Order: sequence, then C-alpha cells, then structure tokens
Amino acid sequence: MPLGSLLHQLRRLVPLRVWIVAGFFLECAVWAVNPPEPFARAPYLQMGGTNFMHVVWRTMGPIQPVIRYGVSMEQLDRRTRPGDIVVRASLGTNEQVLSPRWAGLRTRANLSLPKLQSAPLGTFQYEARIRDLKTGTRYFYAVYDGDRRLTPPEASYQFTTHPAVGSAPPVRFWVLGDSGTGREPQSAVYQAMLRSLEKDQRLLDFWIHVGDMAYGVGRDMEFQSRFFESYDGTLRNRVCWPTMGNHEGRNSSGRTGIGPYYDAYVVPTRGESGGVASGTEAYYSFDYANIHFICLDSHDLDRRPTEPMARWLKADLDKARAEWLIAFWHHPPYTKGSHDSEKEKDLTEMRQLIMPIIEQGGVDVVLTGHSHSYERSMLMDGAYATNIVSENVILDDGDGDPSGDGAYRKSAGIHPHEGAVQVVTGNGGQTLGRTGSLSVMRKIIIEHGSVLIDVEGDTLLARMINRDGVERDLFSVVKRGKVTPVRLALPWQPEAYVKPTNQVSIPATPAIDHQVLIPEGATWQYTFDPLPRGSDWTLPGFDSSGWAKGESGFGYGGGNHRTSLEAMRGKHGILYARRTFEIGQADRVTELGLWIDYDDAFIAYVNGREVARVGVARSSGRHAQKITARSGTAPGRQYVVLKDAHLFLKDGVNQLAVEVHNSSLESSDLRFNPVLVLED
Amino acid sequence: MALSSMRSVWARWTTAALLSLGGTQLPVWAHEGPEHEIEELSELIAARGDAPHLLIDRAIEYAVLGRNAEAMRDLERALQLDPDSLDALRELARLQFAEGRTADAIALASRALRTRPENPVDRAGLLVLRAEVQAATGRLREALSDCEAVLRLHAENPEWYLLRSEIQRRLHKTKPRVTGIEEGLRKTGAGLLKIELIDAQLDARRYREALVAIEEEVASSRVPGPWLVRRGRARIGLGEKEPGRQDLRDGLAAIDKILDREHPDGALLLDQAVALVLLGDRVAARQVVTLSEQKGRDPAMTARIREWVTGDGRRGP
Repeated sequence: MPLGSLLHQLRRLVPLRVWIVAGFFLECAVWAVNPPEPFARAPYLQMGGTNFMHVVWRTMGPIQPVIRYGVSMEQLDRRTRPGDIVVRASLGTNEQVLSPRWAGLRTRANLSLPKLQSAPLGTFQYEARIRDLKTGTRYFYAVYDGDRRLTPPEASYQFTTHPAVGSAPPVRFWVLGDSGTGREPQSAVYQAMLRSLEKDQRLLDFWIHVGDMAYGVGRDMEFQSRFFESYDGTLRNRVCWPTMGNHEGRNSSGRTGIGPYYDAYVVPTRGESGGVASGTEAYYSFDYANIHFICLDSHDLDRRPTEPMARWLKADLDKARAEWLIAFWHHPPYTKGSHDSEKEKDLTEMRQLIMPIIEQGGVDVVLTGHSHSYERSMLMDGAYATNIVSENVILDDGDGDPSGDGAYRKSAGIHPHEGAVQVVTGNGGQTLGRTGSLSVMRKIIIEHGSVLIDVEGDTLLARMINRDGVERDLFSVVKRGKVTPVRLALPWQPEAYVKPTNQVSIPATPAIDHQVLIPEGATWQYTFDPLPRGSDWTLPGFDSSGWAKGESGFGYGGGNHRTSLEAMRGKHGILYARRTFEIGQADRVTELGLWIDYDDAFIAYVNGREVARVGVARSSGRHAQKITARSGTAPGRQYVVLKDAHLFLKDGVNQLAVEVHNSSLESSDLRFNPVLVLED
Repeated sequence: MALSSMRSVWARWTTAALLSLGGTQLPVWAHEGPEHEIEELSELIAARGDAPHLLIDRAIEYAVLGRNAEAMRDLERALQLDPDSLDALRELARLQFAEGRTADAIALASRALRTRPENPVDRAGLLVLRAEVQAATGRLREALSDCEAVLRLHAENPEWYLLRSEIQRRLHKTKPRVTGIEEGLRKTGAGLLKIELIDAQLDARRYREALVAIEEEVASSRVPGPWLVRRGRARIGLGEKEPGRQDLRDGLAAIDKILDREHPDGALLLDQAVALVLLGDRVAARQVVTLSEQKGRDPAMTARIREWVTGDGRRGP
C-alpha cells in the first residue's frame, strides 16, 4: 500500500486530536537537543492575541524567511509578507577580526538591520507577525527559506489565537520558575508536567516563566541550551510569557531593554494583546479570555510608587475589566525559601511598594519565583510590614482545597482588598533551599516541581505537580456573588522551621545535553620533573615538546592507572598536564566543565586563564598554599564548572592546562583522570 | 540533527551511569541566597585575588542585602583595578546616589561617560543616571540637557520622556513639555505618556485638548476619582465653574473611598490637594500635606503636593 494511502487510512481511523496530542508528546520526548540546521534556534511562539501570533526563530546566516500557515496541516495556503517579518542580526563590530565565513555577511544591507546584542556571530533572528487571523482558532505553520521548507511536516508546529476577550472557555496554563540549569531536575519537572497533561488529555493554552530561565548569568547561549532547546517541543506551539529573573538580569537591562533576554522575547509594548501600553518590554500585560495578566520587572527597575513601572501598573489595573487578575514577576514579596523576604531589599520593596497597588487593584493571584522552593499563602491582604506577621492580614486560613477546607471565596468582579494568594514557584530545577517558615504560608514544599492552573468561569484551580508527577498542593479560588472579607486575628500558622545542621549537598553534574571534548584515555603531555618556571606553561604555543606523553588517567597508588606516575611517589608533589581541544565557534559555548577524578587538588587553565580551583587555597604551581587533602570518603568523579571559560575561548584550537597537587609528599596516592565536557 | 540527537541520547545515558556511580558532594550553583553567594565569591577572591568582575558580583549581592557600605567598598576596589569598568562605575554611582552622596554620583557618572561606551544605549543609561541625580539636587537645567542628549541617543524608552517631562514641569517649560511628550507618545505608544500629556496640557492651560482625553479616561476608568479631579480642573479652566466644582467634589468623594490613610498613595494625595485648593479649602489641603509628610513614601511627591497647596510654581487651575 502506498505510504500516502496508509497514512490516509490511519488518519481516518485515529482522530486528529490524538495525532496532535501524540505528536506533541513525541516531540517533547527528546530533550534539549541542538536545533536542526539551518536553525540556530528552532521556531517558538511569542506574543499572541485574538487575531495575531508571532513566530520567532534563528538561523546561522541569512535566509529568505517565510511562514506558511493555514487551518489545515495539509493546506498551508497563506503566507507572511516580507513586511511582516522583523530581521535582526549579530554581525560583530568594526574592531573584531572575523572569520571569512562571517566577514562576508557584513554587507551594507545586513549592517542596517537591527542588532542582536549578544547572539553568536552570524546569527539572524526572524520575528514573524502573522495577522488577520480568526479568534480562538488553531493554525498549523511551517517555516520556509524561500520555497524550501525548513520545519518538518508535523502537527506540533501549530498555534491557536486567543479566545475572545471576556469569554470564559476553560483555560489552562503552566507556571514555571528558576528552571534554567540544563540539569536533570529541570528535565524531570518538564516531563512530569507533560505526563500530567497526557493523563488529563488536556493541553496547555500557554505558559508563564517567572524568571531565571538561563543560569548562570543569562548569556545568549545559556538561553539557547537551558531554555529554548530544553522546551523546544512546547515552545513551538504554546506561547511562553516571560518575566526577567536576576540571573538573566546579569546580562540584560530592564532600563535599556538591551540584552539576550530582550533579544529573545517579543512581548507587548503598545498594548497589542490587551491592557495599557507600557512602551517597554520590561513590564507588560495581556488578556486571555476572562483573565488579565500583568507582568512586572522586579529586578532592576525603580519600584517606588511614583516611578513609571508602578504608575503604569496603577493605570493598567484601572482599566482592567476581566473577571480574573493575575500578576507575575520574579522576586517574591513573601518567602523564606532559599531567599528571605524580610532581609532582602528587592523582595521587601516588592512587598512594601508594589503589593499595596496590587491589592488595591484587586489582583487574585501573584506568581513569583527566585526562591527555590514552593510556597503558597493563604488568602491574604495588607501584609506590608518589614517583619511579616499573619495577624489581621489573613482572610481565609483554610487550605483552599475544595475537598478540604473549601475554596477561597471572593466576590464576582474586581474589588480591592478582597485578598490574593501568593504562589512562589522557584522550584523548577535549581538547587532547592529553605531558610524558615513564613507565617502567611499555607504550604511550604521543598521539592522540584511546577504549577498548573486551570480557570473556568468563576473558578480557578491551581496544582503543584512535583518532579515525579505527584500532585503536592491544590488550592482553588471561586469568585461568585458578594463576599465581605473578614480579617482573622489569630489565623493558622505553619510550624516553625529548624534548619538541619548537616545538610547534604547535591552532587554537581554536567548538563544533560553535553558532548565530550577530551575523553577518558586521551593523550596528554605531562611533566613533574622538572617543573617549568612561571605560568607560561599554561599558554597556547608553549614549547612542551620535551614533556612526556601519556593517556589519562594518571596516578599512583589506589588502583589501576593508564599512565603510572610511580616515579612521583615520595619525591614530587605537583603534576603539570596539557592538552588541546577544538571549538567550532567559541561564542556558541554555554559551559565547559571537567568531569574529573582527582587527588588531592588541582587548578585548571584555559588558554592561560585560571578557570577552576579545587583544594588549593592560594597561589599556584610551586608556590601553591593550603592544599586540602581530598577526603577519603569522597572518591570518584566530580563535575567542576570551568567558570568563565567561555570568555577565554577562541574558534579552533584551545589549550587546557591542569596542575594537580598532592597535599603531602608522603601521600600514598595521586590521581588525575579528567574528561572535558562541553554544553553548547 | 541525527548526530546531535544521538550524541544527546548518549550523553543522557552516560550521565545517568556516571551519576549512579556517585559523584562527590559539591553543588554546581549552591544557590541559597545572597549571603551564600557572598561567601562563595569571597572564597574565590581570597584564592584568586581581587578581580573586578568578582568584586562587582559581590557588590551586587551586598546591595541586595542593603549592605551598601560593603558594596561600595568592593566597587571602589574594582575601579582601582579597572578604572574604566562601566559596570563598576554605574553601580557605584547608583549606590552613591542612594546614599545621598550626590556630588560623588554625578562625578562618577561623568567619569563613566568619558570612557565613551561604544553602545549608545549604555551612554544613554549613564546620562539618565546623571540626569536623575541632578534633578534630585535641583540642578534642573543640567538635568534637562542630559535628558535631551539621552533621547537623541535612544528614543524608544518612555521612562526617559517622563523624566524629561518632570524636569520641564519643574522648570515651567510648559510648551516644550507638551511637544516632548507628544513626541514620546508617537515613538513609544506608552499609556503613561498619554496620562502625562493630559497633565502637561492642564499645566499649559490647554484645557479643551485635555478635556477630550479626560472624558475618555473617565468613561473607561475603574477608579474615576483622579479623572474627575482633572475634569474639574479643565472645566474650571474653561469657565464652567459649577460643573467643574461638582467634579472636584465627586472626585474627592471617590478618592476618599479608596485612600489608605496608613499607607497613602502619593498620587491620590496630590489629586486630593489639587481638588481642595481649587475648591478653596486650604485648611483641608494643608492637612493633606501633613498626611503626606507623615505617612507618605516619597519626599518628591510630598514636595509636589506642598507646591500645589502653597501656590509655588503653579499657574491657573
């Protein structure tokens, strides 16, 4: 039977929605892979509305960008016009020496394009606005380079426009925070959410990220690996509405709207999706059915009520007409997770300066991250003190569970000071933490997870799903009739928290999506006698022709070593080793790390610059001081990030140099068994 | 694609296998709040010596905890090592401003500008910082000059138009203020500039123009009190005294319902003051000044309220 006929038969037998759901999950099953060429960043949805949608993607080198789309996957009968696509490019500066591959792109036309501030050289970003769409309608799409199709013909490339403003269809969205590590917990949280959707047979309508989606400092490649590749399967068919976290804020600025965060996202500035035009992507609002969402920049903008962000917030709340008001930003006004809202200025200011506006405006739920925990408050209002107390600020101290103490009740419509629920969901993947118990919290759960929220008519239901797919919290808010808030003088309080004295640290691991640049058993040059003077031996081009060569792992004592260093025993305490490695394009590196078994201590250099130091307190080489013996109870490999190594890399050949120290010449062993790992 | 997928699948299984063998207990980013970050950075600094980027990172964490003296010390040290570090110059200038060391802040912002940052937006950000400090210290002409330079460099930020508008208001440059905001509205579409334009038109006695926009706001606002006060002001300005006064009374009643007297909103207090002055009730207006002084959160707003009540710098309704 011809394939086409077979597919046709299958399509007849299996409902389309099953294909769509199955396809959706299949695409998500392969996690954090690099996008297929020519994509440098696979297509993802951004700012949507009732009659438009944005699709954004990147390529290395330019293409003739076109989006073809239609209501049927087989018939993508409409296409974008050139004027519908904003093109931005990263082409280096006049001072940079560029390889011929990229130098040729610096044409007059390309140089006149808006700049991508920090993307790898040669990156072209396309922001396609697809307009004149029907409200609440699903469309399938494909990205083309002229007439050449770039995205595969799969159902997962689709989008749905917003439902009519004020309508009340069931709405489901996902809320995630502090996920951007590239590590296993991030993947587990995501997979758990997907399984939950599959179990419910109910997909998302969109999702919200409450910040810290790209550790460590929000570089462009950290975004690429730890956000865009990690959530590729969902990003291509569901809009992510972001807010900037403090880690993104290291390289992006809300004041100027410049940086990888602002390069990546397309969000409203002129009220395109509803709400009052903010004029900036740092803070914005949008409508979805009968919900009005407000996003603030809690990181680097002035929070005072007389300053623009707070004034815009008031203006936006003033105009809001939706049934539900949900606000989100990064820094929680109330937390004692890995951050303490009573001690940290950013958090205190959000509580004291912004929360009065939020609660006066009648907001129902506030979603935040930053603190690596899950904390969820009771229905509360008016807790603005520096030292937070729950007396007379709690309006309902029940658990909010309809099958428990009952849902939290508010009046229909928007009313000031009828209470909001605070949800801290910074548990999306980063190392968890807790400093205490805040008296306004009803649930404090130190587990990785994320939040699914369903809104249907006058009822909101929120659930925290942990990394194992277990529902660990559930609360509901019902807005119906007229409710008169009553402040509780002596509300329920969580138990006091006593921090354990011997907390176990989580072992470090490489990113899930990594490749090995220098494997175990690779040949290194090494010497321990004599040691060269100074630090030139760490540099590329150093003449190490007189050094020995051997396969890693090196060592003596305590087990087998590919290259025995028995000659060091009792005589020499320092080993120097060198090995080159290749990098295709240095500005596309997210992270370099050593997966290394060592004893007792080491310092690592890339192209002559120190990038890691373990067990050596001061100085280096023959002057190294305070060397700590590696504990006998901590054998085996350890993952060590080569911090800032990306700053010293160059395209092509790079030099790795490592000095390994024994804590004492009398030591019975020495080990050096490194694997160099790259996340790109 | 296939190769990278295979590589990634291999990577996942290898990682799982390696993890199962057990690694040593060392967090990747032991991320337990600013105190912990400070600890880690201090260890790195002790081991590697002072490095500007480490000192700047630590300063940021100190500032989060409100430990401004330590933050400034780190930034000063970073500048000793790298006198042209834009990050250090900018962060230190901000902290100096926050600490009231305004002369130092202006000097440092000026020094940062002399490094000639390549990115015009970086230059604009420094000019804004200097303009804010100058405005706070009453050097309004210098502040305005900086604002104009900012907007020549980067015309897409509505906040900078607002800053210029405020400075022009204090300098009583009513006409340029209006045209400047109109320019900002065209370039950014920001809703706040629409509101600012209404206030600027009222100050410039362009009551008829203001009234058109005010009517739209009254019709669409959930919190009509402040808009009723503005409409009252416009109507009185157009000679419609009694309707105007009724608007002021209605506006006051609406504001009174929502004003939190323990944590009063400065903008609502200003609206109250405007209404009371226009209604001729200076006693009540002075009480608003007192409330702002005692419970308000922004000295600049209190100053503005006082201006209205004392009549300093205000012309017409």
